Amino acid sequence: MGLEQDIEFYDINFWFGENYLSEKYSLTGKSIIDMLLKRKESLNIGFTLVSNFLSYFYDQKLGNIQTSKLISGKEFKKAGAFGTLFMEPDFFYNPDRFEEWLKRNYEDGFRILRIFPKTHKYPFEISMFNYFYEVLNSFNFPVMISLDELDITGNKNIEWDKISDIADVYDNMPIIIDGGESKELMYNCYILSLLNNTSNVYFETHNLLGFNQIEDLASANGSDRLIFGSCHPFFNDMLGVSRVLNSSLDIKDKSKIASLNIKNIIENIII
Amino acid sequence: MPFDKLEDLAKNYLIIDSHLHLGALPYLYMPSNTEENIVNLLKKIGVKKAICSNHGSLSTVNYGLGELFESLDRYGDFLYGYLVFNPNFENDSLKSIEKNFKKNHIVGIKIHPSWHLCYPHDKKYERFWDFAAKNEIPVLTHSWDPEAPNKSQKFSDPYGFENIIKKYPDLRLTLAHAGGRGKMLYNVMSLMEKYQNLYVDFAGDIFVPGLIEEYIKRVGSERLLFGSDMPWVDIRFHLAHVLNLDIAEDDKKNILGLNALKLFDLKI
Repeated sequence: MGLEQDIEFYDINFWFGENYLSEKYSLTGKSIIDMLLKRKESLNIGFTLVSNFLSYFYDQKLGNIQTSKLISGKEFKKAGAFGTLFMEPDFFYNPDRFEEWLKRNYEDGFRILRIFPKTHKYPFEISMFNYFYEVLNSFNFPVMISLDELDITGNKNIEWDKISDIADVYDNMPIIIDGGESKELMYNCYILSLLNNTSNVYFETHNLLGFNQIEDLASANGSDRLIFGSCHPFFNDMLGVSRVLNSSLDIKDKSKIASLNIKNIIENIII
Repeated sequence: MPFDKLEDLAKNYLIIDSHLHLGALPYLYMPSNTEENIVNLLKKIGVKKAICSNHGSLSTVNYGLGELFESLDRYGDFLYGYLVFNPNFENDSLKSIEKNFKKNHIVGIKIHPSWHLCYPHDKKYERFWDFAAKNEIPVLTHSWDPEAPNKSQKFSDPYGFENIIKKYPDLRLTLAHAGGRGKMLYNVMSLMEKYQNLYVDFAGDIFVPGLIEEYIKRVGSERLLFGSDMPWVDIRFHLAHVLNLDIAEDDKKNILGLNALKLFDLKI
């Protein structure tokens, strides 16, 4: 390593499938693998955690099964594709099955559990999600949550304190926050406090949009806490890659944000 | 291309950032937000001229104006400024604009109906519109989807400006953020098709893939301006975005700087 061209990216926030609200944002069939290969070639995005619109918009279970089939394909493995698993509501009825389900899906190539408590209408508070957090914590298994899901009014009223409490109690469980569509990430006093007061909270980078925000957060809390995500197809993949490469950070920090931090988290999963 | 340095890619273009802010950010904290840091970054990545408003001019009646002129003095031919009209202090604000609009490096007036909680068609704006049209001063306004969760965005509904641009066909009005979100980003194109005196910028977090290409297709590139909204959004995102667009070279040049050069009558 030593050249910008050598920095490999690992994208944790890539959406595929049918987005029923927009054909433009839908990516299906052969186009998915073509897109992953194109990004690998032109942007050096060597690994991707893929999230399925079907899991988000329709049925988490169905989406997880579809994603599992997809990433088991040879071409997808070659393209560095792994999956993000969506929390399924069945487990609130049958929590005992959660641990086995998580193990099985890890073996099938899933590396992060995404939770959408507001959209999918289930709790994420410790008092009601504790059983699942305990399992995840025991495996060091990362959880990803979007700020849109923590925004109780849809107008930048983020429940930062709940994330802080969860991180405090389950400190082996990496918590990755992605900004979703929220502009809240510009309001970074909360972010600074959250990073200062926890050891296992990470921020995905796609909408760390504020002036010098990536450099400032890296300077305040270390580049260890930032993880690259493209938010494809809502953002142009190149923007996030270019922002990291054109930051004033040194090449070691850029590499950490680009891929080393998430690789480290994934390698730490004990399952 | 992402592996090339932005400053190297930018060398072939005249780049004018026509929408940025200086001064303290109300309600926000960004450690790097100093005038010096902002100007240094702009210059480093190849911006040749920048047009700013001062946050203090939006949040106070008089304080920001002093800061703006101090900034303009410091940065010579690099920095230009917008005065701000505040409809809640209609008389004082208009008097201040009358006094200052011909001063060196003042090139336009910024309004922000959502910030000031006043519709642009409110009576309090009437004399301002007359004045801007009569004196041919470009006006930059915040614009956003009125259905956004933030209720104050209703004041900046792009359609709220329609009667004004219809009434003043020579008034050059820029809808900042091109309507901001969702379908409004596309509805603004329809307004631009109807009214040739309407301009847009994509300042802020407007990075919808294919959006600028569609604007070019429907309304041409001559009324699209390059703006960052610094420090709210880091200009490196915007520059990478536009430089990477798969559009004709002439369109890229228009957007990055030539349109602003013409609209604000700047000299190189």
